[in-house]
Amino acid sequence: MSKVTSLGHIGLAVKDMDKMLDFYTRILGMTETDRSERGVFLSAHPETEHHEVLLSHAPDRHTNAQQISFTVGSLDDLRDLYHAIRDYGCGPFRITNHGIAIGCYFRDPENNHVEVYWSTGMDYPQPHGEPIDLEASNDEILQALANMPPKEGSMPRYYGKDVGKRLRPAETSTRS
Amino acid sequence: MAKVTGLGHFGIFVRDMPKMVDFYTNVLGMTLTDRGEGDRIVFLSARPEEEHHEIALAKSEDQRTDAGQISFHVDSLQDLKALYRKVKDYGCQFDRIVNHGIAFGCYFRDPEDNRVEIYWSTGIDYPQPFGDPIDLEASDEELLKRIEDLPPREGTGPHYYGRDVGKRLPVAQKA
Repeated sequence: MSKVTSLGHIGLAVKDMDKMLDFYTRILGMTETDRSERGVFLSAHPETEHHEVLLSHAPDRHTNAQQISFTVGSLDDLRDLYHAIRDYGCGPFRITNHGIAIGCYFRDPENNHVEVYWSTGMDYPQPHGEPIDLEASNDEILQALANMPPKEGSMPRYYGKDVGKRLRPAETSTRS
Repeated sequence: MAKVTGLGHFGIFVRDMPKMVDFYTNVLGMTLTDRGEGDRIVFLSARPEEEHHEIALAKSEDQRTDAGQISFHVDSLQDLKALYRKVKDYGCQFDRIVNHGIAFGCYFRDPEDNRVEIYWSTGIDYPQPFGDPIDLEASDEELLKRIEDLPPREGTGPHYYGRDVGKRLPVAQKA
């Protein structure tokens, strides 16, 4: 049966293009792949996806997404990005342990609700969220994940190949 | 330097949850992976083994998301055609069916007027933005020829997309 196979990209209405472009490329690290007078195409993996976010100049619109969420490669990267975003001046932050991910929520320069998140590699029924301190060590954060109690979900579990095993080795660091 | 590695999911506000869940699961074929109490939030994924959710539907009486587009991959030109017919039969309005060069895209309004695109990546590079109307009722051969016939075109920047960049449809060289 024909079906969609994945989310590819989203469009985001932008008031101040220079400011938003600076934030999404310099702070979040996305690559500009194309542009016109009306918009700029951005991708976090430009070799495989032409664009994941299309910034469109539309001063009278606000996208008002419930969330726009980006993956990161490791727990260290999540922490580094959190610091970079904080130093840039965005806020307020909400840092949440979802079990399946540690999510860092904030408002981008035009008040869009954005999340950067690190997938923990374990399954946990959603929705679930509890505050967690990203300044804690990786060991402490992994321990907090390991200590999560079993929880009954609303659905048969789909996520992760080792559903029911709870914790598989997680990519915590990209540093040697 | 730490950077984001991909778009993971997108959350939209929804008024009629049963209708939206029906559309995204039964018509677009996504999988419902989790749901909150009273369906205040429903999680959907097109590849639930890898990504817990790609779309979060959040119930709200007063808030509305105005996305320029929410765009989903399909695997083949045949799938694009089949899904186009399915979405049309469901009753959605299409506002644009185009050849982007890099993709054939089919834009329509979901049951709550969000602008959604389903697209098949052609596997070639072509500077964006570009859009040329196509007829998805045409044969695959005719449609594929539309890609072959695209003239070289100058883009705004170096191109990153695709392994065969510069091979099939090179960006015009500046003199």
